Amino acid sequence: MLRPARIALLGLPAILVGGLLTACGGNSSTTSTSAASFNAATCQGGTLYVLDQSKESTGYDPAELYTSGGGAIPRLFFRTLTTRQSTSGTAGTKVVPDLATDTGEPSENAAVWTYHLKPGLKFSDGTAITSADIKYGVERSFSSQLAGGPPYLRDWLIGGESYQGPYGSNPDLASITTPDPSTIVFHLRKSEGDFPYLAAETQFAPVPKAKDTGKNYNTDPVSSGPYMISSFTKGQSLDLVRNPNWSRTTDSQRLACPDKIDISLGLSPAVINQRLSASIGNDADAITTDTTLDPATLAKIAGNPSLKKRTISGSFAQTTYLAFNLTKKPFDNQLVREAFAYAVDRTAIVNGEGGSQLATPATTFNPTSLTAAYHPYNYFPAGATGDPAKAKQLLAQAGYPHGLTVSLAYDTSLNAPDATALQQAYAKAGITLQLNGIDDSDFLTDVGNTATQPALTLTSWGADWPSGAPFLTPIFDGREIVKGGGNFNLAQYNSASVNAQIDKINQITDYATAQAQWGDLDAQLGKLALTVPLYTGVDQVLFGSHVKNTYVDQWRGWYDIASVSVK
Amino acid sequence: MTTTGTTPHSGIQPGPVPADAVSPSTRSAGGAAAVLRRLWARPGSRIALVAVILLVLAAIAAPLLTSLEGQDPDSYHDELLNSVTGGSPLGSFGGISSHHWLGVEPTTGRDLFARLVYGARISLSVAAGATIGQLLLGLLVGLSAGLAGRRIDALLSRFTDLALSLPSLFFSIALLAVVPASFPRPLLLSIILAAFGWAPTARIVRAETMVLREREYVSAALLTGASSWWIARREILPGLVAPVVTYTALALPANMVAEAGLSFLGLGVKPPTPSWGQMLSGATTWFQVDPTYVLIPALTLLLCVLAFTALGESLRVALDPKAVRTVKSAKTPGRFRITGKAAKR
Repeated sequence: MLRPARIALLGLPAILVGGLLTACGGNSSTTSTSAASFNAATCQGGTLYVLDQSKESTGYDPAELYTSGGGAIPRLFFRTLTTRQSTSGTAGTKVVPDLATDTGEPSENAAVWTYHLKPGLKFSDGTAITSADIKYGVERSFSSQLAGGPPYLRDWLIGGESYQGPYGSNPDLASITTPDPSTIVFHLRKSEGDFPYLAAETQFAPVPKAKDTGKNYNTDPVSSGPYMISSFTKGQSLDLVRNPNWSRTTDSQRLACPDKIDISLGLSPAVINQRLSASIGNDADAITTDTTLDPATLAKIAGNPSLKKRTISGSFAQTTYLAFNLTKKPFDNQLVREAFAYAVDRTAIVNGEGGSQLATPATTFNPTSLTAAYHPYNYFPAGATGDPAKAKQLLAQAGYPHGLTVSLAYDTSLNAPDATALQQAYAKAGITLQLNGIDDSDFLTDVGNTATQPALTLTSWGADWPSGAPFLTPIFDGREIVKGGGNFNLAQYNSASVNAQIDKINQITDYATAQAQWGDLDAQLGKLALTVPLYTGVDQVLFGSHVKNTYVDQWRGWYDIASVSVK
Repeated sequence: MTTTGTTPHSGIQPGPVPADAVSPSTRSAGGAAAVLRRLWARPGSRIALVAVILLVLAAIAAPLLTSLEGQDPDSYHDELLNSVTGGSPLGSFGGISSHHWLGVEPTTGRDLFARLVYGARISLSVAAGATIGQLLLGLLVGLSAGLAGRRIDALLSRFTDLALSLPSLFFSIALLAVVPASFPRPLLLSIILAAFGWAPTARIVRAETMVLREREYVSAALLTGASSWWIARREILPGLVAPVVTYTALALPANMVAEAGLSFLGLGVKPPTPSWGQMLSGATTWFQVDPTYVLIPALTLLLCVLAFTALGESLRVALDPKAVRTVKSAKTPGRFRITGKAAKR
């Protein structure tokens, strides 16, 4: 039902799936260099340049965008009921009110959520933003001609599974009510304590019904944020100017320092990194929202302190892991799964990804950057480079004294270096790994279908928002096993007690309590060796020499385009 | 990059190949030993021959050489990498040491010498397979066209033209992408390179056959009632040895480059099997940080292609006694200037 973050993250390309910082302090130290001369009160002015490889060929329709926490560029012109907290460190994983006065009033069991809008909110054309505009925005995302957003709304809202959007014969979704122009109520079919996190996605941006142009809305959407589109050529450029009807007094999360933002689209990653490192002319005022450093460029920068100062290091909560199919031999046997966990050489895998600056070994499914839901455990300690002796012993116990041969399915464009590193490490434990590389376009179809799913898969999973719920539910909830395609519970694990536990945690609306319990659930599942967590990626990103206030937000592991300044 | 053969054979196709003045019997009387002797007599040829023999020996003895070095092509060496700087090799020149003669690969620490010699096996076997395939197909089509009637000749010649004009690189890429991964990759590469590269051979063979079949000894054989097959095998084929061997020696390096090119594009052998094209493709982003990593496969490929091409040229000269004579009498230093047809008139 949920999707891995590599497709879920708008503005973040597939290659740069996130990871974690070994210490949160690492975050703030990179930011302090530019924060020193930064003053939010006087930061306005200048033009910010953005160099991106994305072509944005689908444009910016809030119904079609699939973002994490509102994305980078879309958040500049779409305000949502809630949004991510713009700050460095762990606090950046918090959800805060945006258009609404609070993050939502839940009912007793967290199945009904009520929001009140702040007073004085206006669209860029000067008309007032009402709760009906937000309801209409959510309803549009159900239309089949505007598909592409996250699947949660359809699953959670009462009647969502059959609703066809506002253009059909039955335009109204009864489970969203607007008692008055500043109040909106969502009726869910089950408890969802994480609803405020979903309300940060662009589907919760207001859309004025009178200005809706259906499929053409994506080139010139009506702005509710600090900027509006002045010109947009798909695949080439997007120019933003200030929205005169936005003011900082109603928006605590966007500083909106530059007067103009010029975004160049469709550049090659090498060109972007070259231009940012040279930082000549306008490129000194440039950033990127989707291009990380590759290992070779990182090696080049390592010897250059001035470039190092202009590099941020962040992490998006995503784990790359080995998934066992428990319905297939030999992985129905826990001893075999444990042997596979002991034999892993995480150092080789991390080096294959570009070394310790670009990846961190992981032994837990919830990554450390998901700070509140991180419960450290390492039940099958493989050490830094693997424990083939222990693995051999376990395999012998399991009835494979002479080792075994299995095929490993992986996505050739994402995990090829990991697969060859695993093959080497497993050879030492008597496991012959046959590499079954699957093309990116076929991977999800092959692996997500319970009928064709291979016995062993190398894949990754990232959360749509920083919480244990979207991290663990699709992977370990037995009711999430989807027949006929789109399945992510690759273990096909179905335990009534775990399912009940998930339901219980979903009723908790207090973030810290809920996350602690997600962490405990992760640790409890870890004992079963349903997966072998391998590593979480780290993003290293350059910015121009003149750009200030480039702190990393831990929600997405990137600097925030709404906060940077070029003055 | 492809093998439709633009460069190597341009000097010998299609028309007057030196062979027309020499009867097959003279050639066979010269024999392989004589050709070898003439080859060895020239220092340039000697160097090319030795280089090619060394290369083939290195590929065959790859396991022996790597065990001599104490390494293997697939083992990871985390301890030789600087994990903090993107996994680049520790030490200068890409980590060259007494244990790793050509250094190690960034991000994995695999031994580059071992990968290079094992990669030579893929390069050579694919190139050899492709060349043999091209040769057989080219002989079949060329001989048929040259010996059969006018209609079949026209048909086969147009077919050859068609094959020559195909954009073979695009076809290769498309074919390599659709064939299931379970099909052995080196064999597939050979087949595809052969299927798209036989046409130049066919043209040469046809032209040569047309000339040879007018000779008196062929007419004599015809009068005695010999079958087409007999004539092709006993009368024509020996006369084709010189041009075909020469062309083949030049097609081989072209096929090596083609294989490297396809591997570079990610269509070659599957990892972790080493191949030169893959090494080059992996090295491209590293050229500023670890130039050794780029230079090693690039220079090896360059030297190999150079050696094979030089050997091909030398073979051409050695197979044509007239050319050799001219070289001697004219005392011209450049052997490339003197070709059989140029020297004749």
